[in-house]
Amino acid sequence: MNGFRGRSVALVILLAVLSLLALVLDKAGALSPLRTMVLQATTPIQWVVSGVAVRIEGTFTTIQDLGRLREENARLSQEVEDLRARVVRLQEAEIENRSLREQLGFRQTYPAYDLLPVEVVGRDPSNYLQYLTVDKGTTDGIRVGSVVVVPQGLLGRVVAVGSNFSKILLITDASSSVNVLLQSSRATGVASGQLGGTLLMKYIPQGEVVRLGDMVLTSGLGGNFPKGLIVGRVTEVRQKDIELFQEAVVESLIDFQRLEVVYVIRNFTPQRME
Amino acid sequence: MNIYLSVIILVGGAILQSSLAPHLTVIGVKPSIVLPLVVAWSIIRGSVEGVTWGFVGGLALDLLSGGPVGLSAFTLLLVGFLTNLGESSLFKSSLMLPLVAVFVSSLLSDGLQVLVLQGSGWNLDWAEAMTRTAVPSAIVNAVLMPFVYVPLQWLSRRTQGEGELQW
Repeated sequence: MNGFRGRSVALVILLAVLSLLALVLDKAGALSPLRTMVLQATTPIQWVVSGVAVRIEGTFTTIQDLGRLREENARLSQEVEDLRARVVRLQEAEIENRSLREQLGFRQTYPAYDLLPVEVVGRDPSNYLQYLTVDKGTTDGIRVGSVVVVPQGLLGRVVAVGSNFSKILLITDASSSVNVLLQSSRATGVASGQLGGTLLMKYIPQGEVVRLGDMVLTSGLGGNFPKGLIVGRVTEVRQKDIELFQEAVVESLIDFQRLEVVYVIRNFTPQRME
Repeated sequence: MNIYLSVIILVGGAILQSSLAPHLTVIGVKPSIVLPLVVAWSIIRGSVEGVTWGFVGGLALDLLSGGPVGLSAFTLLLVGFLTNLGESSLFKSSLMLPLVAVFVSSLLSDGLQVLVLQGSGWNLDWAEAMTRTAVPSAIVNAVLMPFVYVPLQWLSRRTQGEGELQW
């Protein structure tokens, strides 16, 4: 029994040393080729499993939600009509705006994004990390640093890529930071991911007015993300007079649990990686 | 048991945890598949195999994850070792031991992971992580455990004659 216990202790020590060595090597980037190789091999399997899981989940959700879906359909139909009217008014405002800018000699450039749709095949297995794996990579023009969006706003950026996969760091990951600004006051700050799927906008100057419901957009500072992408909406303001800066809790408009297709911007080159 | 079968089970578990488990979110957390596998095998077959399963399963998770490689390998091999410290053949046939073991192991593994992630630059609050994520995760893993432990007991009986992990 003692020999057996001694053997298991020796094995623990050996494997613990190997694990710690792996941590060090990974920090130095030495294990990236191995990781890339594994992900390239497993991405097709994850694509199949994910497809099955989505169908199963969709079937159960549909059956459970039939009643609720009818009510929601009626509500959304009304909302569509309201939004149509609003679009018409906004289009008129845009026309007037353009005309005024031209009169002032001001030229505004709207970026034309080259968007590549990619399918989500996997998520990080940890509850503390927010990464997605998608089914396209360098073969389709995706590079490390490529920005990823969905119609509801900024999703994240590509941090690792192979020929047939990309790994995306979501903005809600605790290691992610995005330079942002408040749409109303134009006050700038940094939005960092937090446990629970929200973001914390930090370094807002004390004199700035921060309101609940304020939209938060990318500021373009630092060059990692294009300017003007939606990051989220302010849901809580933390302001103390004794602090140098204010903070705001920001909630993304994206439903991260239901992501199936996301879009990689191929024609935006980040100036540097954070 | 044949090492290749072990690797298939563990790598398959890691793939399921990254592709299937996110669609089965319960009380805000994803169930773990590899951790219950490691705890169950450690109880059934002892610490040597439990440690090996922890290392291999953890490494598979790390290679599919965006976090540091070696993180899950380290935490799960410790889980495989420590699970067996309270071993008693009297309790192996009861489901209480595996349920308690996976609950405690889940808390331990998550606690260690958060500490290492904090040290690696992730902005995580340890207390918030434990209350908000680790405890619900431990509960979910304990609920999942019977569905892992019983099949592995059967597999162990089928492969008992092969002795310890064979290379």
